[in-house]
Amino acid sequence: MFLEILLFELRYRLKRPATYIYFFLLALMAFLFMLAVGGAFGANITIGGGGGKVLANSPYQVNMILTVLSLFGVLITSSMMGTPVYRDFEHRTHSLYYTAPISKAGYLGGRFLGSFLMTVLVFLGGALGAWLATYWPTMMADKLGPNTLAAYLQPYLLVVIPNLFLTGAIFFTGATLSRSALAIYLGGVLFLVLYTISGSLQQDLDNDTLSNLLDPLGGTAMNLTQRYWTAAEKNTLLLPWSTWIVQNRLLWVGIGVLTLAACYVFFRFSFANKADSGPRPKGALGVADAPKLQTLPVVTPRFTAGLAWQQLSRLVRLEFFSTVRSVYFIGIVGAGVLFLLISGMQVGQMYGTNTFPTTPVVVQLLAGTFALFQLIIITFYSGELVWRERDSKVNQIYDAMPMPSWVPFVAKLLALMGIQVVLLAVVMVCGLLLQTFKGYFNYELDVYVKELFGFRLIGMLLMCVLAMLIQVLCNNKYIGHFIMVIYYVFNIFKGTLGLEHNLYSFNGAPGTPYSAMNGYGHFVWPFFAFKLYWGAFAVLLALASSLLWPRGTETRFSWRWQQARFGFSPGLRVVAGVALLAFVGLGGYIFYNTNVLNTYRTSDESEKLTADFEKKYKRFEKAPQPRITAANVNVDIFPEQRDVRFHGFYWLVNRTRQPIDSVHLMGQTDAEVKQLTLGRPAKEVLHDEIGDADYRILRLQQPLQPGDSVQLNFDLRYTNPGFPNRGSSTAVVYNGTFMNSEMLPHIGYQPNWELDDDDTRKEQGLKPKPRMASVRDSAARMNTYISNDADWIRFETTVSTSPDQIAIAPGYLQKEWTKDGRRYFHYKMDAPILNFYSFLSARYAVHKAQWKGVPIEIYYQPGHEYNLQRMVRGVQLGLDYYTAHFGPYQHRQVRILEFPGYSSFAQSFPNTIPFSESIGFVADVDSTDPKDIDYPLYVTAHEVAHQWFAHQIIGGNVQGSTLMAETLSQYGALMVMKHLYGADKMKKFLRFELDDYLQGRSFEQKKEVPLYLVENQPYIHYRKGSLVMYALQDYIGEAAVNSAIKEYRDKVAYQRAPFTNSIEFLSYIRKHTPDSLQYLVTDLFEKITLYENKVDSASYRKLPNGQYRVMLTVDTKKLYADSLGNETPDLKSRDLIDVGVLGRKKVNGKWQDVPLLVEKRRLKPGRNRLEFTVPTKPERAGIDPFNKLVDRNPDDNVKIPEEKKA
Amino acid sequence: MNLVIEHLSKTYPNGTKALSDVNLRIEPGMFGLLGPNGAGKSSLMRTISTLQEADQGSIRLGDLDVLANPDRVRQVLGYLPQEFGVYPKVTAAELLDHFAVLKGISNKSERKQVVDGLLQQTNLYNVRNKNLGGYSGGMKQRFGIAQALLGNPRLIIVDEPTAGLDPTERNRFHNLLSEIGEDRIVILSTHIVSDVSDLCRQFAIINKGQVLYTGDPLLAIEEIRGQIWRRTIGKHELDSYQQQFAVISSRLFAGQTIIHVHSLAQPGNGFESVDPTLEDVYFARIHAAEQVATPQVVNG
Repeated sequence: MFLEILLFELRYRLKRPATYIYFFLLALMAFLFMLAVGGAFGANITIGGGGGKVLANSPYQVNMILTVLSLFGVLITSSMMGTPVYRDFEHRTHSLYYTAPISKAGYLGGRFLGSFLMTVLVFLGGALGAWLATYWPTMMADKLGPNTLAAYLQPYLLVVIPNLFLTGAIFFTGATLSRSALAIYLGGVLFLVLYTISGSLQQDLDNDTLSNLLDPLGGTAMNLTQRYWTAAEKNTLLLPWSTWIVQNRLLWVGIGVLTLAACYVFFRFSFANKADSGPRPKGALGVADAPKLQTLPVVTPRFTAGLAWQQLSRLVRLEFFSTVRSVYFIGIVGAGVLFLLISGMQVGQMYGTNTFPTTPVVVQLLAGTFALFQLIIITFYSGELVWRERDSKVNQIYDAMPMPSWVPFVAKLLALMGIQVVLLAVVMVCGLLLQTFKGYFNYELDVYVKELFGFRLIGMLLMCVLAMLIQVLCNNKYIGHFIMVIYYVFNIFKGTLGLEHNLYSFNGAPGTPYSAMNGYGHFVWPFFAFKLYWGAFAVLLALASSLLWPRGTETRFSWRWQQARFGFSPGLRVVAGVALLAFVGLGGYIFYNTNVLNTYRTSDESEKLTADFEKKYKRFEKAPQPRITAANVNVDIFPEQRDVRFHGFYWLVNRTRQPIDSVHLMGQTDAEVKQLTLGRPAKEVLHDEIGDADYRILRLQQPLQPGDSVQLNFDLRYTNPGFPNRGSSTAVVYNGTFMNSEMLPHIGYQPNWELDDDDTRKEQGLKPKPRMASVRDSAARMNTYISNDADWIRFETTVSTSPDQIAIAPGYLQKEWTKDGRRYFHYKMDAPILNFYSFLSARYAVHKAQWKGVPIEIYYQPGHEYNLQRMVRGVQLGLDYYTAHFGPYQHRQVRILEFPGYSSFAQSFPNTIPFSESIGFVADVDSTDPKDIDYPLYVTAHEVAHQWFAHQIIGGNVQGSTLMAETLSQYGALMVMKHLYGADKMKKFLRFELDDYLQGRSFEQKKEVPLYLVENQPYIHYRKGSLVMYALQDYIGEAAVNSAIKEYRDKVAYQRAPFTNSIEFLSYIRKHTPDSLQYLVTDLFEKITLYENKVDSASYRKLPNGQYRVMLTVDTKKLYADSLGNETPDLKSRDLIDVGVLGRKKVNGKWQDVPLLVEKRRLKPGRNRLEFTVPTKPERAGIDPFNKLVDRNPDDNVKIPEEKKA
Repeated sequence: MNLVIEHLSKTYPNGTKALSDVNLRIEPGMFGLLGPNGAGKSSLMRTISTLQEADQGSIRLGDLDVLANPDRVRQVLGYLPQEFGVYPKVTAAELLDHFAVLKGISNKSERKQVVDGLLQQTNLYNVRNKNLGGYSGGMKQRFGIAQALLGNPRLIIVDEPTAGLDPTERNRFHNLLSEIGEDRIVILSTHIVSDVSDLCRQFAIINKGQVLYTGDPLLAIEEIRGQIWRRTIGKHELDSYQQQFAVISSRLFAGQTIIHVHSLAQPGNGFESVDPTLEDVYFARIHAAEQVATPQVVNG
C-alpha cells in the first residue's frame, strides 16, 4: 500500500509540468550563477566569498552556488513538499482517500517520500546547470579548473539533501496539519525570512558551538569550517566532514525526523477542515421561530456621484481591516517587529561596542530592515486583495453590484497603501520604544516623520501600484507573485547589465543619505524629482490596472481590453493626459539635469574611458617633471550653492638633472578652469578630456633648467549644476564641506587614476597591473606613496566661507576677518608638510583642551558632545606616549574636525584630523562593561600617531610602505590602550583584529603578502599589523621596539628622495632584537606565518604545601603560507611560545582571567609535556593563552584542568 | 418594462457552444428557465447580469441596451449566482449592510431597515451576528437570496436559488419570490420542474444552448394532453421499448420500471393515458430535440 501510494505520487509528479519547470529553473539559475562567477557577464561578480584566484568550478565555489540556490529553493521546496497531502483537501478528494482502507503510515509515508525523492531530483538540476555552464564558450579560461564529480555531489550530501529533508518535513507537516494553502506558501517565505534574521542575530553570539547548532540550514557550520580558507584551500578542498558540520547536520536531520513523527501522531483521517467545523449557530434551523412574512420596506437606491465615494470608503475600510486582521499579516508584522527590536538592540556596532541610538541611526536601521517585510506584504497582499472576491467566490455577486468599475480597484490599492502607512508607523513606534528602552530621550520626531513618511513611504506606494498592476494583468495570483520576485531579483542585477539610469528603472531615485550635520542636504530635490516622475508613471499604471480590472466571469484579455477601451471615459482621458504630460515633462527635466548639465555614464563606459586614458597617456608617465615645493591656495567655499573656487599658485622646481621643456597637468573634467598657466611664457600644446581626466601639456618657451623654479597659477571652480543620476558629490555641502587636495591640479601623469582590478583591466584590453612596485624598486622610491608630484611643501591658504560657518585647513590661523558677508580664515604652516591637505567648513561648536601647552581643539556638530573627553584623552595620551618614545611632535596644535557621515573614516592631515560623524562621535562606550572597547579614544590615538608615522616618516611608493604608516600608528594606539586599560583587556581587542585578518586573507583577490611587502591591503597593515606589533613588543619588549622606532625616525624623518622602505625599517627592528628572536622578526614580518597551537590535556594535583602542580600536554605546529595560501609546515622550529596557567579574579564585580604563571618556553613541533607549580587554584591552562600568535583556532589554546587525586 | 433577448449567441474559447441564437421575451412576473445540467441556463443568466459578453445578439431591458450599459443594468439588478461564497470572518448583518452600500442605499437608517427586514424574511435574523463561516449550506443560500433582493431591484436573476434548502425554507422562498415578482421581472433557473409549475406564468426550456420552448406552463401542459402514455415494464425491457417508442422518461417504482411515452395515438397494448404534467412537457420537448432518443432518468 505504501508502495502504491509512493509510486502514484512519483507518477503524478512526473506528469506535473511544475516538476519540470522547477528543475529547469534551478538548472538555469545555477547555469547563470556559474557564468557570472566565471566572468561571462563581466569581471568581478562574486558569490559567497569566491572571486579573485578562486576558480569558478572549485569545490568551494560550486558548494556556495548550490547552497545559495538551495536557499532560494526553499520556495520550491515549500510548494513541492507542502502539497502532497494538502492536495487532497484542495481537490476534495480527501473524503475518498480517507474512507479507503489505507494506513496512516502508508499514506503519509508514501506521499512524503514520493515528493521528497522528486524534490531531490528537481534540486539536482542545480548541479547539472552549474556543470553545463563550465562548457560555455565565454567563460574566462583562467577561472576554470578541472571539473570533478565530487565537487558537484558533495554539497548535496552534506548540505542540500539534509536541508531538503528538514524543510520538507516542516512544510509537509505544516500543510498537512493546518490544511491551509497559505500556510504552504507563506511558510516558505517566512522560513527564509526568519532564517536570515536568526543568521544576523547569531553573528553576535560569542559561542560558536551554540550558533552553529542554532542554524537549521548549516550555513554557520560551513562558515565556521571554511571561514579562514585561502584561495588555495578553496580551490582544492571538498567541504569536509568537520565537527561543526557533523554536529549540525545530525541535529537538524533529527529534528526533521521528529517533525515527521509529530505529523504522524497528530494527523487524523478526518473529513472536516478545522475552519469549517465547530458548532453551527443555533436557531438557524428552527422552523418555529420563523417570523411571519412581512412586507419589505421599500427603499429606492440613489445613484449619485457621491455614492461612488461612499462605496469607495466602505470598500477601503473593508479591504484594509480584512488584511490587517489576517493571521498571516499579523504573523509577518510580528516577525518583523521582533526582528526590529532585537536587531535594534545593537545599534551601530563597531568593535562590539554600540553607538547611541540617535534617531537618524535608529530610523535608517529599522526602516531599512523592515523594508524587506513591507515588500513581502506588498507582494503577497496585492495578490490576496486582487483575488479576494474570487477566492471567496463572492466575485459574481460583487461584479453585478452597481458600482463603477474603478471603485474596487482603487479601494484595494488605497487599502494596500494605507497598510504601508501603518507599517511605517509601526517602525516609528518600535524606534521610539527602542530609544526609550535604551534610556535615550532625544527623539527627534521630525527626523522620524521625514525619513519614514517623507522618503520611504513614496517608494512603498509606488511598489504597491506596480504589484497591483502585475496582479491585474497576469490574472493569476501565483504567477503575479513570481513576476514580482523576478522583478526584485532583476533589480539586484540590473546594474551589472548596464541598466543604471533611474529614468528607466521603475521607482528609481538617487539615495537620500542623512547626516546629523547636513540633514538630507541637497539630496532632497533630486529624490523628489525622480519620485514625482515615477509617481506620474504610477498614475498611468493605476489607470491601466483600473481599466483592465477583470469584472465578470469573462477572463479573456481581448474582452478586458475591449471593456477598458469602453471605460476610458473623457474624465479618465484627462487624468491620463495630465499624468503622461507630467511623466514626459519630468523625464525631460531629469534628463536635462542628469545627462546634459551632468555627465551620465554607465560603469562600463567609465571603465572604458579610464582605460582609454591610460592607453593614450601612459607613455608620459616617465617624462621628467618639476615638483611642487609650495602651495598657496585661496579657497572660496559657497555652501549654499555648493560651489567652490580654488585660485592660487604652486611653486614648481626642476629637481631633475636635465632641462624640462614641457609641464604636464592633470585635473578633473568637472572643474571649470579659468586659469591654468605657468609663470613663464608657455604654450598649451595639448588639451584632452577623456572621461573624468583632463590632460594638458604646456610647452615652455625656455626649458626649465635643473634647480630652476616656475609658478603655476590656477583658478578652478567646481560647481554642481542640476543633479546627477547618482553619486551626487558630497565634497561641498550645505553644512559639513570636506575636500582634499585631490581636487587641485596635479603635475604629470597620475598612475593612480588607472583601473586597478586585473579582471577589469583584462576586459578593457590592459595588462595586469602590480598593486605596488617592488620594495627594492629604487625608481619608485623617488616618490612617497602619497603623491608623485611632490614630497615636502610649504603651505599657506586663505579659506572663505559663509559667515555662520568655520573653515579649517592645515596650518595655524594667522588672521580671521569678515568682508562682503563672507568669513575669511588665513592659515599658514610653519613646517614642511606632505602635499596632501584638506579644507573643511561647517557650523561647528568648538571644544578646547590642551596638552602641555599644545592646544587641542575639537570642532564638532552641536549635540555630539558624548565622546569629546575620550577623544581629548586619546590626543593627550597619544602625545604623551609618542613624544616620550618616538620623538617630538612637529606641530603646535591638534585639531579634530567632524565631517558628515557620507564616509566612515578618520584621516590625519598635518595638525588636522577630519573625523567622520559616523565613527566615534556617537559611540556609547560603557566603561563598566569589560567587553566594550573605547574606540573613540583608540581611533583618535591612531590618527595622532599618524603625525609621526606618515607625516614624519613616509615610505617610498613601494610595497611595505604602509607598514611604517598604518601598522606603526596601530602600534602607537595599541600601546596607549595597553597602558590605559591594561594588557588583559587587549586580548578582546586583538581577537577582533585576528578574526578580521583571517577573514581578510580568505577574501584576498590577488595575493597575500608578508607584512613587510604589504600592498596597501587593510587586512594586513591594520589587522595583521596590530597582531604582529603586539607580539613583537611582547617578545622583545616595548622598550626595544620603541628604541628601534625612535632611531629609525631620527634617521628618516622628513627625508628627501629616495624614500625609506620596510627593509630599512626592519633593519632597526633586527638591531634591537636578540639573536634568539631573530627568527621571530622573520616570521612576523617577512613570512606569512600561522600557528596551530592547542592544549591536548591539562590536569593538576594539590600539593601538601598548599600549592598546585599543573601537568599539561600541548601541541604546536608552525606553518608558512604562500601568496595563495598553500601551507608548508616548519618541522624544525624551536619557537618560544607562551605556556602557563591562569586563575580568576573579580575586577569591578566581573570575573576576569589573570595569569598565575605564564612564561615563554621553547617548544618543538608536535606534542610537548609541561609542568608548573602555582600558588592558587588553576582555572585555565594551555599554550599561547592570550592569542598573541596567529592561530585559526584560538579557542582550543586553553582548557580547564582536571583535578587528579594523588 | 420587458426584457427582450434576440439572437443571443455565445461560444466559449474551448469551443463549447453555450448559447445559440437565443430569443426570449420576458415580461414582468416570474419566468422559469428549465434545462438539464450544462444547458446554458447559467451562461444566459450571467450574460443578462452583465458578467459575461455575448458574441452576437442583443438584450434589451425596456429601452436599455443591457450589453452596452452594464452600469445602468446593475442599478436595477438583483443577482444570485449558482455558486458563490462568503467572507467567513464577517457576520451576515455586516456583509449585507456592506452590500447595501454597494447597491446604493447610502442612508444609514434606511439601510438598517432593509437589512433587518431581509434578514427576517430569509429567517436569518437570529443568527445575523454570527460569522458567515459557520453557516450551513442552506443558510448561506438564504443569505445569497437576501443580498439579491437588496435595493429594490427591478430585474431579479436567481440561478438555482432553492438548491440546498429544506422544504420549509423552499416554501418560504417561493412565497417571498412570488410576492416580489408581481410587478418586476424575476428569472429563475432550475432543474426542478415543479418549481416552475408552482411559481411561473412564463417559462422556457433550454438545452444545448437553444431555446426549445417558451410559453405559459398551463398552456404547455394543455398542448400535450392526450399524448402522454404510461406503462409499467420489467427492468430489462427498457432498451427494447426505447427502440420502439418515444420513451421520454422512465423511473423505478416498487422495483419495476414505469415509462412515459409521447405519442399522438395510443402506442399499443398496456399503455394507459395519463394527465400530463410540466415534467412531461419538459421531457417531451427535450426528447424531441434530441435526434437519438436517449431516455432521461428522473429521481423525484
